[in-house]
Amino acid sequence: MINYLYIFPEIIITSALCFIIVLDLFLPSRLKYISYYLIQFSLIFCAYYIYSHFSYLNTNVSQLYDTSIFSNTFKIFILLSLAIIFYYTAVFLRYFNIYQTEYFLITMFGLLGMMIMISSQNLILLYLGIELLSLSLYSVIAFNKNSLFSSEAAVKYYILGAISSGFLLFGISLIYGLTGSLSFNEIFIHISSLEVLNNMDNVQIIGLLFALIFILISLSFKFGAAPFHMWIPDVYHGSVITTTLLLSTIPKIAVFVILIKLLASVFSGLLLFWTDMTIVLSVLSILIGNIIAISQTNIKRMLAYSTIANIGFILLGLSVGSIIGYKAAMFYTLTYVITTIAAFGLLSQLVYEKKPIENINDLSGLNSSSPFTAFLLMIILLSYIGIPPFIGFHAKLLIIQSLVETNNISLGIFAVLMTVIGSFYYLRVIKVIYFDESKNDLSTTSKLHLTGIYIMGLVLLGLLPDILGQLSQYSISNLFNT
Amino acid sequence: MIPMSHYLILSSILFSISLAGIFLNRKNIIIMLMSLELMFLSINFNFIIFGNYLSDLTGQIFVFFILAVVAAESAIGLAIIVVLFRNKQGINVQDIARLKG
Repeated sequence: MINYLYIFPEIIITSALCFIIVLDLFLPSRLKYISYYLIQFSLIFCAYYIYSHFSYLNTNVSQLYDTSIFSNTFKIFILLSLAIIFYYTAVFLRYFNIYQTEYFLITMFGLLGMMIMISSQNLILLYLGIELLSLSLYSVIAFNKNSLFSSEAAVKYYILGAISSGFLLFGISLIYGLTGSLSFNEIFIHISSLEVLNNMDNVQIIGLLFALIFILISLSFKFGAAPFHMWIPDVYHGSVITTTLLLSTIPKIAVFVILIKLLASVFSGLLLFWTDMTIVLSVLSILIGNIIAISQTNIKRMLAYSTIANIGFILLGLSVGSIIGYKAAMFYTLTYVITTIAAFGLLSQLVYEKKPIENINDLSGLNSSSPFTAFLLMIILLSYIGIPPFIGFHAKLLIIQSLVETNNISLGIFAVLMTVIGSFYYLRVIKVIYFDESKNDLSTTSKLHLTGIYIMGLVLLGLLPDILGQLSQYSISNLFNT
Repeated sequence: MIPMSHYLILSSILFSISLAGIFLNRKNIIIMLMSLELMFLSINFNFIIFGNYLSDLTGQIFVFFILAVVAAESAIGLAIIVVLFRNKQGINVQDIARLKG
């Protein structure tokens, strides 16, 4: 007997999608805002449903679909972030007259894919979720169809994304052949029964390692960790800034959940091997991200490299290989997403010479034309650097703390040094905003009230870091008890 | 009776050929799409062999999922290439280099 109540959140999203797609065709263009509000309502309602049925959903014991507290925390987070992203997207698209409801609907398909990814307890479901997400992202990137940059970025992302799903599938096929199952639980039991430490030369273990490497390559591709980061700067640069906002935030959460589920629970028998792999990935990401970002002049490219560096920090937390590290990594992921939504959201509302903002120099003298905007941007950049009262500080502190507590002192020192190098390019933007000559061609697409409230929330989170800390403590300990 | 390792070697060779086809190809994006298709077919081959060897249906079911998803994926890929062609009047791989830095 299948209990459909457990997948009711997904059913809400799917039925809202099907309904709004048809409804939107019959609406005259002056009433298109109705479908936008319906979309926002379905997102908020779905988040509310999950929140109000938290403990009921946790009783699910299905081997296919997992609706535990851990998954549901991330689902609520994704739904609410997407609602904020949709707000910024709607403002941006209306201002530049490229508004189409399909943009939101295609993104909702991606949301469905992410929800399936987060809940999957089976490799088939995982593959389908990842594909649903990537397919919708390909089309969203190519959305601005008259722009050469957009279509170029879409082609690049398409080819590399397809290669990475090929790698994922190859890894899955090897796992299937070696363990005879695709369910997370059965694979976990099979790997734990192998006693990896006693028989390293076993053919099965070598095969499983091969599969693990393939899957890790594919996931770091989607995550954007170096050396698989080549697509990130190009795609971020080429797509519309609100698409960049979408790309750089919620897919990272979904991939993070998959990584933690696969590495920390399914492949926990191979912990010895994957910790080394993640250390290599994270060190390379932090180095490449922070150093190449210094030479960038385009602000989207600069933030793309800063994304790579931040991903490196998340992987550094994962590489600790114990609960304290996972908690730090989860805290860092949530912080990164909240800060990035603020950063790209604010930038998407700035207009330079009637075009969206592109170069760092476009921002020069922002302080003299609109001091409030400059102040908000400064808060975000300081939070990225990790200056104490802001939330970014606590995130970096937790990661470094977990490294030191597990005796990875050298990695901790490396992280601190790279943070110092990384602060250069953020501080340069602050210098451009406050000390360069004003150009007076800057304006905003809308009043920044909502952004202001959001950033005040960011500051509050920094003053009360326990909110996010307890959240990550709660959900990570839930993942490992059940 | 052909041993299973022969099949696996064949599918790995197909996988490598498709990867080489993507990375060595400097002319046409359509050839890249063909290589991607070959890559997914080699993976399907893997699944069918393992499913047969384990006498388990899951592998063969997975193949149908992959076939369906890959068909959708190439449809979107071709649509993106059409958009690119309109903007650029060509689909040469060498010309796709406006985004740099």
